[in-house]
Amino acid sequence: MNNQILLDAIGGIDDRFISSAQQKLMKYQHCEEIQKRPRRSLKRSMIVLVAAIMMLMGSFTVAMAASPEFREAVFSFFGIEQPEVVPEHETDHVLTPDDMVVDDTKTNIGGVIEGIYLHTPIASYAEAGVFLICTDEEQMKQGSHYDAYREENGELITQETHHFNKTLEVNGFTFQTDFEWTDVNGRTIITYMEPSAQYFIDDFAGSPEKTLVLFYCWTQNDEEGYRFTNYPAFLNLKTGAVTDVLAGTGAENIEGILKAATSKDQTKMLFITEEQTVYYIDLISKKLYNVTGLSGESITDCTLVNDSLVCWRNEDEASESGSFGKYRAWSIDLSTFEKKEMMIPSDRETLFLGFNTPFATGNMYAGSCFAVQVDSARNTYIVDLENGTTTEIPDFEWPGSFPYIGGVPSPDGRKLLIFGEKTGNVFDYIGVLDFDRKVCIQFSRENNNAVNEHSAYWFDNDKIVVRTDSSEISTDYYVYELLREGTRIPTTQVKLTISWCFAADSKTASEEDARYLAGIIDNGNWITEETPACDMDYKIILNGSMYMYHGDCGTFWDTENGRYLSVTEEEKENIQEILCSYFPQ
Amino acid sequence: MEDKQIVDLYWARSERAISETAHKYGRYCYSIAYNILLNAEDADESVNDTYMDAWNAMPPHRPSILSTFLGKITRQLSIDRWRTKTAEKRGGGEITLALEELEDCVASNQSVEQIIELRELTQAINRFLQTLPDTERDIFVSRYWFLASVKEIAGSFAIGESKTKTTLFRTRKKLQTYLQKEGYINE
Repeated sequence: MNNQILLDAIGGIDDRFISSAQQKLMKYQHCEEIQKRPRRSLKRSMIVLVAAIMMLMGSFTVAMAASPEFREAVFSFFGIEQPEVVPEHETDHVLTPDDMVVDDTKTNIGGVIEGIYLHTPIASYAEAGVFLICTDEEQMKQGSHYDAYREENGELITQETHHFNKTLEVNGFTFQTDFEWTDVNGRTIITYMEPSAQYFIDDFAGSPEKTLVLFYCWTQNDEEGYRFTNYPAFLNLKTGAVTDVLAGTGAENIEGILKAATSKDQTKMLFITEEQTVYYIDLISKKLYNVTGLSGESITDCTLVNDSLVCWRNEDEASESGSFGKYRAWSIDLSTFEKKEMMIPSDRETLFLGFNTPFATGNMYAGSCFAVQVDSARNTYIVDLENGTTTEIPDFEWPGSFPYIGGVPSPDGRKLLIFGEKTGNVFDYIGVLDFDRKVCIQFSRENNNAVNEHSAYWFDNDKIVVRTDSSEISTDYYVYELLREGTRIPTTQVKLTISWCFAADSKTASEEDARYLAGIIDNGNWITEETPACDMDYKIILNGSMYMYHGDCGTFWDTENGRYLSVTEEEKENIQEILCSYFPQ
Repeated sequence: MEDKQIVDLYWARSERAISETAHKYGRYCYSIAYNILLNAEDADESVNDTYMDAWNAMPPHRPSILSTFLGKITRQLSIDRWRTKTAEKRGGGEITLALEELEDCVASNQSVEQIIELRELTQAINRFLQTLPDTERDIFVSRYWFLASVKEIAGSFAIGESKTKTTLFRTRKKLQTYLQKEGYINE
């Protein structure tokens, strides 16, 4: 057999495989007149979009987009006085690693987005928060070595790389490993992988002490011949110790594992097999549960939502994991394992973001706690799967004037990247739906097509990157950070609940109180250097984000982002008055 | 027009079948052909030949998914045309790269373990594809069926090129192992 025969044989594969890939490839989404979902006309003007606008034009020339009316309205909304100016990059030679530069121009767009521009050699990648530059002469081939850099305050910092070369025993199989890795803010990034590796480490796979590795195992049985499984195990890259997460759970002999993902704290794991059976493992108690069996029916996909699983099943064949469609959803409590139907509006199309969505980034994504719904008028809603509440995004319509992909969840599942097709070389539209803030930050764009933007994807939990090839001598990256503290939330959509440690229930704050507290939280001077050493007696959920508050010293504590905020004496008194009105003491 | 109606036109031997096919799937077929041939004129010819082959195939065929039925014809016609051009030293493009990559799976110096019917090999590949996660399978099919470039795939799947290449590489390695274990190539 030779590769020509193989190419011909691939030509005859099942139609369903071809159709599935066709739906993902942007070039082919526009080729047919078939439209999976009806296109609807815009109901409202784009002017009132809750949006930040960024425009890239031309080969690094001044950017302006859309109509003057639109620009003025959006700039006015966010106080953006100047549109983004992408800096011109002039070079007449092929860039080497020594020529790499972070452009001096750092753009802050309306206090919402901060953009930086990097010029790197052609043989480079930007992934998982680092820039990887190929060091091999025969560049970019499988088995190439890479140097890693991270950007910090406009400087490119070289990352120290480490070599891992050990023989590992996993589930009765022996694996000879040989790869290089670096530690980026406590996260493992692979900079070299041997070409014959029989294992895989994803971009978001954990810390160096606990990196999830999928080992390729083949088993044979008489009926089905050889079967392949991705056997998950944690690997300590510093000691070489392997933790077999399936050992002792009864899952050791489950064949055909396609995909495995852990919760952010790596205490829970979900995996799915070829038969589309979903399993859940409590990695602390080492107990295995058949989620499909507990559900009593097949599952399209599911997601971990704190102490429960939310599962769903498509109501029509056209609805697939990672795409809008009609679904029925239910939750399974992870302490009682009882199934409970979820009541979500059924007259809208829903996008669930499960751990098995085709666009998931990394192994530490066990699904999103949120779903998106769009109604017939393209009004867009965010469904909080923890409590089933549905919130409409004010003044926003799901963009429907292009064949969009369903959306790409951020590695932590708290945002959704949406983008449209390319016109010429440029993405017409990029938007980020922020589930916590219930806003959509939109990048409405134009470009003179001199720059070929060929991919937009998540660089980190708060950053997206657009990769461009402006020439044969360099690769340019636009990295956009979605600022947390600077994001302005329209006051009309503030939702705030308060819990007190001495009371079992939580209270929903009045609009006036919610606005006052949101103003302090959004505009306060948050500190990340050190943590407060005091007890927290109130829990405040503001638009999905949780803050703890200590009434005695007037301190908010944002545990998710590891920062705290001390309020003024006057604010402390006012806050205490508000809190006591809900929980008299 | 719905696919079923177009197929009915073929069965009724109505020439309108061709124009409806061209209207609905012309761009689709052209994209497949152009990816392989990198030449507008050649791609046009492949698409026109596709309509002719479809005309000859229906009846007796009644494809359930018209787009993939046509796409398969276009792909094979374009590859055949590319082979002719390659013989005339006019090759190149994604198909050359894809073939180089597929060498990973079937080293050219390996002897054939057994005479394989193409259809049998296709069924083996189908079984292999069934074992892959959805995304990995879609990326593989994008590359080796649609012959899409790595850049195009990275853009479509919202992942980096590095991850695209890594994913393709490990899928090829898995396919190689699978074909070895199933006895299609020597270990």
